[in-house]
Amino acid sequence: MPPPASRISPELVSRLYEQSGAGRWELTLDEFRATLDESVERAFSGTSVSPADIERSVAALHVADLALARACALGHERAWNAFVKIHRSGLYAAADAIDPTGGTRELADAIYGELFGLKERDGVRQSLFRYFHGRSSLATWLRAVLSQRRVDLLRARRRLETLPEDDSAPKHAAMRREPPAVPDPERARFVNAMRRALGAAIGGLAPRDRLRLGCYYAQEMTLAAIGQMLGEHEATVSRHLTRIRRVLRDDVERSLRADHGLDDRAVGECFRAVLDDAGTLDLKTLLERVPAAPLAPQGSGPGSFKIKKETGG
Amino acid sequence: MADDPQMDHVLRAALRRRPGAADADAADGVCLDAETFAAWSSGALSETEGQAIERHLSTCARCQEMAAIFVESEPPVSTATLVAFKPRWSFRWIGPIAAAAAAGVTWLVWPVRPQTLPPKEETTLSRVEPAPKLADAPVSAPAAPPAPVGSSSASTPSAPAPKLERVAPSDEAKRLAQAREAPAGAQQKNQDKDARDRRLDSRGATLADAQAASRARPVPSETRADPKLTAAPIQPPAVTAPTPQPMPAPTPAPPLPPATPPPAAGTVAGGMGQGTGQGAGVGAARGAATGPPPPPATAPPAGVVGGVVGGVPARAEEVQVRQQPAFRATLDGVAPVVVAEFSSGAGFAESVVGVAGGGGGGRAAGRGGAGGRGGGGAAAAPAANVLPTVTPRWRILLSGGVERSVDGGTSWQLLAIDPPVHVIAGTSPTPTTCWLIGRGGVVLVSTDGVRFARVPFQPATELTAIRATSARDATVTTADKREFVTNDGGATWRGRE
Repeated sequence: MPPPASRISPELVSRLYEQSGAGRWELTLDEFRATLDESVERAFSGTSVSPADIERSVAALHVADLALARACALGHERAWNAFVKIHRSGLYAAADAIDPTGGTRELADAIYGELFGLKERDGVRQSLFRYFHGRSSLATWLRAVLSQRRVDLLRARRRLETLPEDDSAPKHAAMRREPPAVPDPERARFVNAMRRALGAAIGGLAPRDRLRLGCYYAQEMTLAAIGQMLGEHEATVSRHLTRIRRVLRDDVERSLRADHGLDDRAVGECFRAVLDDAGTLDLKTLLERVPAAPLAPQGSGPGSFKIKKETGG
Repeated sequence: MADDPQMDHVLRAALRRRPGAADADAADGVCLDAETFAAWSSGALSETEGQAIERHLSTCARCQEMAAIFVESEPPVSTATLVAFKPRWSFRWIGPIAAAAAAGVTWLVWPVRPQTLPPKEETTLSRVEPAPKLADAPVSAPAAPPAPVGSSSASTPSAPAPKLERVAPSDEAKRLAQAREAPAGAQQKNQDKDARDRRLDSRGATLADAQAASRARPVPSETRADPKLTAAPIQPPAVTAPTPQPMPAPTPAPPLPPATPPPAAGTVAGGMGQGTGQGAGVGAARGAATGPPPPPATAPPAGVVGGVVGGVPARAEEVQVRQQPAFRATLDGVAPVVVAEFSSGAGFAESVVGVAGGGGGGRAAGRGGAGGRGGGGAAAAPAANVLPTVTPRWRILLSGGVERSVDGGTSWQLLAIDPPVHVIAGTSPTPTTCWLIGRGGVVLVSTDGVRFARVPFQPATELTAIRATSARDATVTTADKREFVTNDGGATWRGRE
């Protein structure tokens, strides 16, 4: 079966081939064209896009890194040597930054093995590079892969962890009350009402605000880290969080009064009840009330893309 | 969070991840692949794509956690990069330089300013004068007594640094003596000279005052050799005996009043601030702590020295002549790049590149009676009770080395640290105590000012700043803005909330 016709003009392929320096890695023009086609296919799978959009998209690719990755995947030794020389230290530095004790180095080594393609299928090495399509730099992609492996490892370990003592006591001790001698019959109602109202309020936030909230409270990221991720100054993140808290309080109090018929005293009791017994309002629980929104706008233009359940990279 | 602590606690309690709890994945069951996430973090996606990614991230704990790790995985920028000295000029400096030049010209041509403080005899003297004309231009006899130093340099932010050694001290002293003895009519006559001379004289004591005062005390000859300062002998600690430092006896030179009792005053040099005792020099360093309380009204002001910050020479160079040798730093020699300088009772938090011998910060200003802020930081004890006659000073070079001066910055000696450590910051809470931090999370402490011992520090992470109040109590700040405190000389560290 002949390969599908390339959607990229030969002139553009030639120009990008020269620009990428793929010849240094003994990558042929056809191999390079196939690489570009795969990138385009991934970005515009099953959609009809104008050649101009394709050209714009292809021109934005990190073609030098793409050529290097493809050459490594094909087993060109010179390319692999160059890759090791350029990116190995960066990957190890990222691993050390994640875990200064060196615990993540094993992951980095494992990634190297997968990048080289230790596993074969049908006599062909299955290199991790096949998941790289040049939409980011190779170094950034490697950090993302490393982070992905790291989070999977942590989550796997977390399932096996024993539950520690509640470590929230010191932080919230000042706001907690002594447990009542007689159980408050309304306490459960307050907690449920509060969770419901808080979940609705968080679900009503804009995605970016919800992301800020999740990063700050659930992931316990610093303001600087959140700002770095979102391209904002940490002071801006702080101001947004202040605003979000104010919005949430207003929404929660409004909901408690309107939907649950609580008075001021009861509203205050709701807040205190959550402090006493917060449980975990995980995002999934909260966001089950969020109206479903299309995650990936398929075929909506040149920027369309798919988010797949990632498998390798 | 101060804005709504209750809501803050509620959210923290409700949203925080608990060990052993089931991790929530995205509501839609799919997660970002590494390349899409990398492209999003690089800003390579379109707005529509970015919004979709954020929508997914806001619902997916796993991807949020991956994002957190991804941000964490960015290797920290080395301190050397942060404080890298840029020898090349950049066009962005043109604006500030032009503004500074305009301010300098305005200052030069502006009429004499009224003296707000009554003239009185001061032993802390200063002079502001452009360097190229200093040797050639005749300095007229002062029309008025030397103005207090506090009125001089604070409003003169920039000008070429003068070179003191180019002025003949004897001539200046003679002129000064004549001026002081001249009747009022003669002084008025002198005021008819050109405006520049009047301005120079009205802004403080002349350089001759400084020279005369310096001559009143024995000053080691090596302190006059500027190249020696910039090429300070690098010797092992075993030979770091203090340079002979004849402390000036308060010899009453004829034209000058007797020197007042020595104040516990520090100087600001090398772009770094320094905690001071009575009367403080305010440098460019960012310090956290305020200085000791203001001195009594009769306390004479301390002088400061002008200098270099960020490789740009400051305008003013003032000379402190009371109880300290005149500061004679010049930029004639090849000066090592200094990233930090501090002395006892002074803390240094973050590096600012300067050039050795450059002197104080851009806003170097004598604040005599005001006392007030120490430029450095953790001045824990009143300097008057702690500081010895000569306060040891340390400076950190861009190369990571540490130098120490026991003669007020006239000469510097490189301290040997074994095994070698690339030092990035330090602080000296007492004259014999010095804390240093180096790359790789290294913490060092010295209790004799010469020999440094490495103290264990966990977690192993890069450090950016250190504060200390004694040989036992110190606080370090990590690259991710966490703080760790020790109260046992570094044996144990605990995180600070």
